[in-house]
Amino acid sequence: MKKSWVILVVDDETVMCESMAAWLREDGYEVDTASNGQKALELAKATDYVICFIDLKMPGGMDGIETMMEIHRIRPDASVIIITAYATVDTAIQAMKEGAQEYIVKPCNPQEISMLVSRILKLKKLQSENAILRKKISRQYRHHDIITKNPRMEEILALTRDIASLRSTVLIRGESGTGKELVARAIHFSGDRAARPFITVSCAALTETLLESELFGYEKGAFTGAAAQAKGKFELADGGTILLDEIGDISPKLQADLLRVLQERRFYRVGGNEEVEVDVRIIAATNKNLADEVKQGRFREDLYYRLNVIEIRIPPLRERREDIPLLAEHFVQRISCELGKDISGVSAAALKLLIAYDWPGNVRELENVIERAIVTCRNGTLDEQDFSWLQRSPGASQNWEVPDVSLDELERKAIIAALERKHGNVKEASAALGIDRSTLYDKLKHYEITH
Amino acid sequence: MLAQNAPPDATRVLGVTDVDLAIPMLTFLFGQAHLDGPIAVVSLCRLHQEFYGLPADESLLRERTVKEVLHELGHTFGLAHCSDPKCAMSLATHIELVDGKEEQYCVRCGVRLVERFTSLGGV
Repeated sequence: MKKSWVILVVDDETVMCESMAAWLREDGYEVDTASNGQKALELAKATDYVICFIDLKMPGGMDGIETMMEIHRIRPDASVIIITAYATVDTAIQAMKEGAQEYIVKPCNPQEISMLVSRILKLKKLQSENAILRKKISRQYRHHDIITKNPRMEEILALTRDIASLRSTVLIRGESGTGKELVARAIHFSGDRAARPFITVSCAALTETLLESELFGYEKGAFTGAAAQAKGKFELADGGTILLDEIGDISPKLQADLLRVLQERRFYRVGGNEEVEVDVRIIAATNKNLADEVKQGRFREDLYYRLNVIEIRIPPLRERREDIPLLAEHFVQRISCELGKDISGVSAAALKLLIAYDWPGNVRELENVIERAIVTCRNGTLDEQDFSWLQRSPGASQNWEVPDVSLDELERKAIIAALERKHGNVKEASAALGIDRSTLYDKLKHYEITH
Repeated sequence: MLAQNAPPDATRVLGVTDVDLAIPMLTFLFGQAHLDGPIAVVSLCRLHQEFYGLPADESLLRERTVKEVLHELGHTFGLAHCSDPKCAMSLATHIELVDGKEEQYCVRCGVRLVERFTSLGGV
């Protein structure tokens, strides 16, 4: 493990260089040496050094600080430790100011060097681990995780990239399950707020007073049970982005409060008299037609215009059927992996069925349908039988095709089907068919149906 | 100097001295070796109890010397420092750490040493 770390020692005195290198090599590190700044830079171009020990005073050309600054240009992640012969506070301060991680005074205690190196490497390991984890998280919400080849969706993705680093409010419209939160996350995580918080508040899930304290926080004693001051979501999202989901459902009072936040980026905590200022990007999402809500007088017009600076309308899945195979494939891969089942894909016949279905619950429904199919699937591919239950759902009935038969035959079939559904109950069957009970009896006789 | 005076059939030369050793970079050393090289040296200076103002202890000195000789020879056969504080190859920067070691290599270092011997043509 240690072998991957390479250390550079730069000192004009060869004996210094070599003794330091020998000591570090005994400790199991790979070490290169350079006798001046120029040589050090040449080496640094070829090798990604984790630590550079640089002598502060080197005759001619570059001194230690200059060398350090040049090395930082080539290898910004390298830690520089300045070696100095005299412990003067000034040089130490200057070295640290210019970006040295540490400085040591020679000759130094052997223990000191070993501890210094192992401490820096420990930090490096944590840093690289942290970077990997961060990457993993943000990758979940990056643009290419919105899977599409639909031109309208591609336009939306291009737009999210364009607006990612702005502070303008965004209004995302789309039916439930179309991926409004995913688009909001894509905007947040591809902009310059990516490292700051992204906070989602579902406005429909909470009552007015709860939502108010959830958004704005409250002061101690603001209401029964407010035992201590609490920060609201706006404060928690400071510097980042807040997603107000189902914004169409908020009460008139909260609409007024929200308008103030949008206008002034300031608000009061519940029960507080001190203004709180925040820098938050607001993204609102709704499955309602807010323009209609405004016309009906249920939503404030001024708030609507404040929110609707940039509008994104996500098409429902039935308007982007070409994405169904892609999405299905993606979900099969992800979910089968999560559930530990070895499923290779979806059969052509099953795919046809999925494409024909209307998906009232959109992508989320597709995801759930695939998950259910994977759970019950007995072999390596999802085929028609794994989705047979889907055909009976109400959405599928819209794809019902009129069979090529006479009107009489059609009526006969409809009556038989109605009786079957109602388990032979004539009264219920006639109600379902929208005819009188006596008329149904007549027709049963006419078509010679026994029940 | 050690290299020049070595017998021609020697593969490793280890010098033992009473002088306090230092390399230009460090204040003191118990010993020094060429990593994977033929030369090593061990200083007894800081292994004497007298160095720490204590009465002489001949057997303790011998113990410490064996440990440091094992340590430096290990380096000449390519071993780096070991994280097991009982292993002769663990890094000792003061005398208490030397005393904490055992007069042998840990299993891992031992295996590595045997592998190294084998690759050098056996000993």
